[in-house]
Amino acid sequence: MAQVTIHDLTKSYGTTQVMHGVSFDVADGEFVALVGPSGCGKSTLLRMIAGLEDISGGTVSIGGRVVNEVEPKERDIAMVFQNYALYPHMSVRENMGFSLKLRGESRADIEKNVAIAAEILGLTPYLDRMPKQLSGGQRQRVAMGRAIVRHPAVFLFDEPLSNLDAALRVQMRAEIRSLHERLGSTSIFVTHDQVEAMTMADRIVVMRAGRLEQAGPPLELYDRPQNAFVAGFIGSPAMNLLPGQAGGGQVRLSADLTLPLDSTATGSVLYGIRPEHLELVPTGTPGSIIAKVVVVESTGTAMFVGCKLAEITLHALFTDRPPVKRGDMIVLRPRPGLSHLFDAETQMRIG
Amino acid sequence: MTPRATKRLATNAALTLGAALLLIWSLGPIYWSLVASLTPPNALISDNLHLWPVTPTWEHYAKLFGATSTSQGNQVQSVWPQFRAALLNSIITSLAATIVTVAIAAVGAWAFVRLKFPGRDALFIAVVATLAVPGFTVLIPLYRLMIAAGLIDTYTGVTLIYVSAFLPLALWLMRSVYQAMPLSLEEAAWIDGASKFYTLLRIVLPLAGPGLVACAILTFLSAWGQFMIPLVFSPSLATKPLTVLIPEFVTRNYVDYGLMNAAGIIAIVPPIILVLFLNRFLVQGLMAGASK
Repeated sequence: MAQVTIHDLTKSYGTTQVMHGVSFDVADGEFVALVGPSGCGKSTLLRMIAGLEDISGGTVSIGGRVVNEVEPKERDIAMVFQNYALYPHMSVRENMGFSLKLRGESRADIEKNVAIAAEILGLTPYLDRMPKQLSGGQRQRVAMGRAIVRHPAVFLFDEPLSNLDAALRVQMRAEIRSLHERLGSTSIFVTHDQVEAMTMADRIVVMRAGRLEQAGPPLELYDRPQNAFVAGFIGSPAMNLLPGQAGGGQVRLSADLTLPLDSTATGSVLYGIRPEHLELVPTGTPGSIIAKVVVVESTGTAMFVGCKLAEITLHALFTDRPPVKRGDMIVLRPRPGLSHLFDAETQMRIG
Repeated sequence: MTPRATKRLATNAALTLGAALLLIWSLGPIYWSLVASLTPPNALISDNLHLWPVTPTWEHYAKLFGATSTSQGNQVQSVWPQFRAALLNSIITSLAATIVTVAIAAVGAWAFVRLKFPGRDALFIAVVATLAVPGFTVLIPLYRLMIAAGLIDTYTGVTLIYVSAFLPLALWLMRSVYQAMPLSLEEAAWIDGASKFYTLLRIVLPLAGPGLVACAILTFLSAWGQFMIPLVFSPSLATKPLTVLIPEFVTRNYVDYGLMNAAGIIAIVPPIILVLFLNRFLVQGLMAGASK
């Protein structure tokens, strides 16, 4: 059990700096997701925690001990790799027991620990199989089994679900989360999929281009994104972000579209409204938008509607299956109090 | 016949023809050598040539293996003692060159892929570039070097030359084998608590097996067929291999084609045995299951 502290971490390759002073804490037993678009440095950060990448500046501490100069095997961590990295020439049993064997544990202890982990993960019937005889999901479980047999202080996951098909991914999401509850160890989970982050993590750390954009509980990031990037990144389908001019309790989005605003902000802004916060209202409702439907996608549970109003494109999400079809003119209204406002210049939240 | 069936037939015919040509190209000389080794000496130089031995004879093999034999009506000493010594020399130098080359390539190529040190790539290019140096150009300096080191006509000397000649190719091959191997396997082992050397030994080398076997076969065959190097550096039967001994069956007034071909047929047996043996380890798809 341990808490992880990242302090002012930087990383450079030669003269190119790819990480610019990232700091955050992971409490003991907490499940933290690192998310961001590809190339944002989340995997590099995880590998620095693991000790697989050198640290250019700042510190990584695990359980109060600075581990910058500590070898990976001495850090008391376990890592689940994106491609699983199972040893192809060893059986499931040997794969899972490898670390214990290296640690010099007795045959009986190894056997016992592997059996317990296999039981938890439902791998008992497969212990004598080779990795190539397993399905993707089973390989994924073996990779996790290899991590949990050691009872490490910290679990590191590097996009472990990205090679699974959609249904299995949802199932493994729940399994990893319940495993986390059961073992109670600190977990850091890297993903580019914000849905994974939202559904699994106690806290999310959003990164972009080597910088931390925002860290907080999933719903806080969803409800109060600190900047336009987080607003657009968290939530699916993504938030509508429309440039406009604010002033006098209103925001002007185009020549003939002005919406009321519960903010006194002025100047160039980005007006944000989530697709699920747009509702259909009768014609003539104050503060409404009339737009033409250009796309309708239905998933059964929800209906995704894309509509256009001059240069403005808006996306809306309905769960009550309104009778809307392509070419219709519809009247939408942002639900009061659920809009977001960002400074167009700094991209920071202003209301 | 439908047009598709006709087309398929034509494709098959072309493939069969290609395979047949390739087989004749590669096995033809061996077959011819076998025929020559079984043909009586006078038939070998007769005007009407046969593609198979009309009156097969073991006399050339008897000459090779027997204690004494008759040549042109005279009783002569058998060549067996020389042949045996040369066969042994060929086996020893080729095996030694193979073992040393594969061992160095296995570790060295890993260093060229996974270790970071200044000038790594330049060094690798320099090593591989030596492949472009024609052997003839270094013969004289190499000879002086070997004399100075007292390594002429020794197993060590010949093996060292072979290793220096075949190592670059082996390094190159093993480097691409390691490059194709996911780094995460090694990282997983480090996190599991293995040292770098233990990881190389227990994780990397077992998975590089097919590559190592390919290197071994390549090196052994190259060493086995060497002529120029032993011609210069193996003057006596202490280290002289078959490739140098067999041409010596040509004497001033008689070329013993039958004996040469019998010796040649015997000479291809050890490499065939080795390749058949190592081929079992050339298992494909060993990496399957490592990832995804």
